[in-house]
Amino acid sequence: MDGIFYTLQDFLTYTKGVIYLLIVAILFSMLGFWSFLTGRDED
Amino acid sequence: MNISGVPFKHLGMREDLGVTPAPELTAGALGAVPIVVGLWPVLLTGIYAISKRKERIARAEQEQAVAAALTQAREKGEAKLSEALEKAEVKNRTAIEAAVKKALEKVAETQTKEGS
Amino acid sequence: MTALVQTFLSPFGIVAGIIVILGLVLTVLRFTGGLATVTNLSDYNAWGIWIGFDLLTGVALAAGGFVTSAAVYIFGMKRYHFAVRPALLTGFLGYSLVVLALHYDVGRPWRLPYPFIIRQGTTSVLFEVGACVALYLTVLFVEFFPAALEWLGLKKVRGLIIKLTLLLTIFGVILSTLHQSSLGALFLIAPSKLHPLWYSSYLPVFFFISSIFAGFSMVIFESTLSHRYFAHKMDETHLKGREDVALGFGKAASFVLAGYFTIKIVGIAAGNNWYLLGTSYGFWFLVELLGFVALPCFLYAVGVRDRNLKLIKWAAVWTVLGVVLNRLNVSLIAFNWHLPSADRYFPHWMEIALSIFIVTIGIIAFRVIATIMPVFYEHSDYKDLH
Repeated sequence: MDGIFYTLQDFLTYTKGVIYLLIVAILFSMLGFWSFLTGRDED
Repeated sequence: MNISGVPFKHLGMREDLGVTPAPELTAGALGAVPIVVGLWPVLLTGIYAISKRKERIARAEQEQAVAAALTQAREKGEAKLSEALEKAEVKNRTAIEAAVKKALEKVAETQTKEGS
Repeated sequence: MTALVQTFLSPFGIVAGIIVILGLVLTVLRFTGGLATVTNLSDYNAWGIWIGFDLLTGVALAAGGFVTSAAVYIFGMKRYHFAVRPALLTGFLGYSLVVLALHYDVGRPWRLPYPFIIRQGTTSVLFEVGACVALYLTVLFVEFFPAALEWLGLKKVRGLIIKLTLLLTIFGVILSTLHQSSLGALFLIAPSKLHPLWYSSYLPVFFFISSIFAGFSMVIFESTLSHRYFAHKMDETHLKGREDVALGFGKAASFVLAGYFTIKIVGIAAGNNWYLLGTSYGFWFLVELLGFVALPCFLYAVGVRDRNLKLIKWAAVWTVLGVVLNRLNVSLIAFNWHLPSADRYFPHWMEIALSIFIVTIGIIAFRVIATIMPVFYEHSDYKDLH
């Protein structure tokens, strides 16, 4: 994680990798959040 | 444009400003403007159409449900009515038959009384 | 007449009166003495609180107009219909005040129409902001105008405009998307001046999404205040509908806040700026993100789940403060973060006084209009005609 990225390619490879992992986390957590939010809805 | 005989840092000027031209920094955002103007009407009208359709279907279903409930209630009512009418008819008939029987018996009685 | 005198002598009237008189004096000072007389603006800090607060925050908080009319007329959520007019009024007054404040901040306000008639400058984000704000102010005016027409009894004209409602709403959402995001895009040109935790190529998206939950929260906030001060003007639907609005808008705001939180994290990841979170600006960024985005998101969610109106109301206030903080951070606090403290900006008291003056005018105008026009009730001639 430390150290300098010498090329844009390396920088983007690293950051995009992190972002892909974030995407998965986001999808699952938004699902969970939605069910929390609508948990006690009456219909 | 700035030209200097000494490194800019010695003049108190920053050296970390990068080389991206200003228009390049804003071109992306400005480029998105016509896309929004082109697509938003489509999306928003689509949402409006879908929500209107859902509303119409919901109203139609509700009317159907109300009509079905009404017919059901009417049929039930009619069934009950005919049942009650039948029962009343049967009751009536038996009552009439009983009354006729009684009358006939009375007549027979008076006949036998007179006969003897 | 006595009612008017009573209003002037009420606590509100006296405080507002002082502010207005001071504001008028300062206005004369600003336009006779110039910007240096009443502001701390400089070449380094060309944009102060008149831009950071009055413009940026004002536009974000006036977003209640487009979110409410979109919810009712595009998404078909008719149960919020009664909330449209107050939201439109807040929006219209908000944008009007933005334009008013702009006259103070700009060096030659008489040249404001120039981009439309002399030279456009189509490569400028500011041109697009100006065009969209001008058009949207017109849209809001037309959308709200039926209320004035009902008050004036002009039925035919009113009917004509009501027919345009869907069109105006769609146009309003387009314009709002554009100018809300473009206000964020204004800062794209200064990556060296805005702290990397706030600078992102996603700034337009951040500004647009935050304007959505700012709008929801302002509607809830305005509904709370209106129920306190205008309950006598409200009809049955208004009085009974506030719980609906709080729950519905609170739920929506919570979900959008959650989405906004996730894209802010993505923004940090895109720049690989994690290490900056440990700095003092990083701490301030976390205060904004955790304390004023994640926290109200959670408070809204709990409030909606438990049907706790009080909690939702406080979440709304907190969200509004969070949006104010975000706009001030981007434009003033995290902006020019490189400069030594001697060159940093802090508003002159006269700038603050004029900002308060402008907001006060807005509150007075809201009071007057809500009192005389059918905003919180349906005019008897037009019941159920929507």
